[in-house]
Amino acid sequence: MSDYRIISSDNHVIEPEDLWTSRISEKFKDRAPHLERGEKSDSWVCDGLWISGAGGSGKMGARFEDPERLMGGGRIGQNHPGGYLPEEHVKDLDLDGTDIAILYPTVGVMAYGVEDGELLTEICSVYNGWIAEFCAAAPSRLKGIAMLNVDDVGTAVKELERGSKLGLIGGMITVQPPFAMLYENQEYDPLWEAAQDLGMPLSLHAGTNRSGFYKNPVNLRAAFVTNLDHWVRMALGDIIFSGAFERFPKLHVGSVEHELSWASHFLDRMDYTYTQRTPFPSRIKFRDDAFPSDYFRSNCFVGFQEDALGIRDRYVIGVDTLQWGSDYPHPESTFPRSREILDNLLSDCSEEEKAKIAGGNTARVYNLD
Amino acid sequence: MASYRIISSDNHVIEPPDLWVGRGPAKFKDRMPHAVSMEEGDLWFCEGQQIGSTASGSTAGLRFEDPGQMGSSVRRTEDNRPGSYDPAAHVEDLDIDGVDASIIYPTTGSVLYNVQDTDLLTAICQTYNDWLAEFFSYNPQRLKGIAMLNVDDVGLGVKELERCHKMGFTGAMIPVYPPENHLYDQPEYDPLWAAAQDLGMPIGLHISSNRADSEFADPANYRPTFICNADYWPRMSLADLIFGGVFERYPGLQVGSVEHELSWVPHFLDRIDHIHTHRSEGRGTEARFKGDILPSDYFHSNVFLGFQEDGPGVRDRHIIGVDNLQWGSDYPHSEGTFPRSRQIVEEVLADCTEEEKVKIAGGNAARVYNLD
Repeated sequence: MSDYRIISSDNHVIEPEDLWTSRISEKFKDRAPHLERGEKSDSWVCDGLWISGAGGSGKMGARFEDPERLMGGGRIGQNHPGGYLPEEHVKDLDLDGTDIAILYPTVGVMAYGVEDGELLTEICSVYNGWIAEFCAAAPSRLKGIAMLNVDDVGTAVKELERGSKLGLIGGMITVQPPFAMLYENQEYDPLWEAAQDLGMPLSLHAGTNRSGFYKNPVNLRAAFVTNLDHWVRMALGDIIFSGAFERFPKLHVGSVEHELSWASHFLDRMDYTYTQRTPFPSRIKFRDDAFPSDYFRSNCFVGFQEDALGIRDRYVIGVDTLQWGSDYPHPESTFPRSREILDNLLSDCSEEEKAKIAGGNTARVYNLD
Repeated sequence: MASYRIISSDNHVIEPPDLWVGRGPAKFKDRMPHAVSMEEGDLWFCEGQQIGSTASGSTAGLRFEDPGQMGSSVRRTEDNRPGSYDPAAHVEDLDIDGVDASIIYPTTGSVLYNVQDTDLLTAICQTYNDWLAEFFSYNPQRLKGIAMLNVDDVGLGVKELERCHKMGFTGAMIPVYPPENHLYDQPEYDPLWAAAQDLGMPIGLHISSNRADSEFADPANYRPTFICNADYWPRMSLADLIFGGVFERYPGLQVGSVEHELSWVPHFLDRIDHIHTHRSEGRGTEARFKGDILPSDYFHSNVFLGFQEDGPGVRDRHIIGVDNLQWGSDYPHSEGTFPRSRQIVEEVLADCTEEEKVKIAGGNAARVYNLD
């Protein structure tokens, strides 16, 4: 076993049943995300809309033992305690050989599909108060990411500032904003600026499509899930081509839980489009002969779990951009075999590369030391 | 110089400005795509929507000489390289470029899949197919036509495929991504897959041929991010075909991605197998294949990939499948390899064995399209 430090750039909490119902403001009392018990499984419902199953983390480890068990729904009581009890989460970090966990929501990811922007803002704010308390139980090991709703950029900036004061270390924004408000729009500049100045990296987590991809049943099919990297490529492409990283050179924006191996093709296509694809070569010019891929390597990070092809392509993607994460306690997680899986995955890397990819890059981007 | 045979799996014609108005059925005459000369250039319009330049064959080779000029000056129809619309000139350019055979796609035709009215689109396809049949009849050994199919009504799509097969077409194209209420995993497409298999007509999914979608028609989609992520649409369609069990039911069917390059494929293959084996969305009974076949196996046996200059994709040929790769020049478009195709093919295939070069430069296209 190697002795490099492991930081999981993508762990999750499992929100307790009463997280929102007990904390949401009076105005939204009847519209909070809440649990509904079905005949065979439990569901999270918000504003009349199914947003998520429940109990999935009870199947963690099944992928190694009995993949058939991954099918079907679950009960909230089956969830792994580390999902909602900080001391249990830390015990599992120890068990898995992981030093620090960067924490994302679970139900919160799906809540980005809630149509009413004010309600989503409230969902974010309530979650952020709760996750700050969760992390406060072990502040050196548990690091929270603030949920942001960017429908209104000014409101998102305020919530990012609040999250920073609460000790959260980054903010997550929807992986797919509404078509009328793409990330190339300069109205986002106050957010980019605040994230840069507060040292809060912004992340684009799989499944946070503002449209609520699950509202359209055709999106629950295998083809959609197979090609989920599309949305993060669109978001990052818009941010890069808009020149945001030229204007805010210390801003970090990352892809989370989309694996890696799409990135080499994406970088190739961005540079090709920039240099050769009519009419863009005559329309967009970055300073100092920078290429789109240069901004990717300097300002983007890529969370991943088990992508051997991506590790092979690490010099194309950028060794400094890679951040391993375990996805604990989701059923597809590497827990409890994270260290073994990482050792196998990084076996061709130099010791310096291993240290970076397993934790060093995450520590640097999130200022963890 | 290598001596292998080069076939361009993706050449284009530029439709003459009077193609549809001059030949279309009387019923649709005043709604057909038509050219308008404007200050900013000569443009196509259909149903009130501007759908691109009539002069996209006017800048072949410019990328090698003066890329800064690409898209920066006014282009007129008469600037088009004659090989764009004149078969004799097209063959002359094949000779200049060292290319043996040309598999021909439309230019504006692809974008016309955006026309909402299905009867109008059917008329557009038929009119184009009649014109292209005349075009390739000049030299059927060297010029190979791809028919435009509207598959909104699958039965009509099958009839047009049969008609075009009789006229000597080599294959057909369908929208790279259909409307979301009519995805390619739906069983109502089975007669089309059966006909394509039985007639030996491979089906191409060409870039920018998305079927009508209000969001797609939005000018915000003509942004660089949209262009550089265009591989999404064939990925979605191919995944639907594979997960839908289409290649299990029609093992002789060939469906290809055209003009989306290659290097997206290794990630895609990794994901389709992962979703199939590890994720609940992929493990419905309909997604389990006979004989423990994996989704990537169907990709290797039934999918072909047109590409132009993708070094990383050629490096990954053993993951993607050497037999799946079909080089194409994109002549006479501005981003094409003309007139340096032979030089570029040799550079991009430099690390391949002679056998691999023969396959990728032309052998695979000849096999899939039965050109010999």
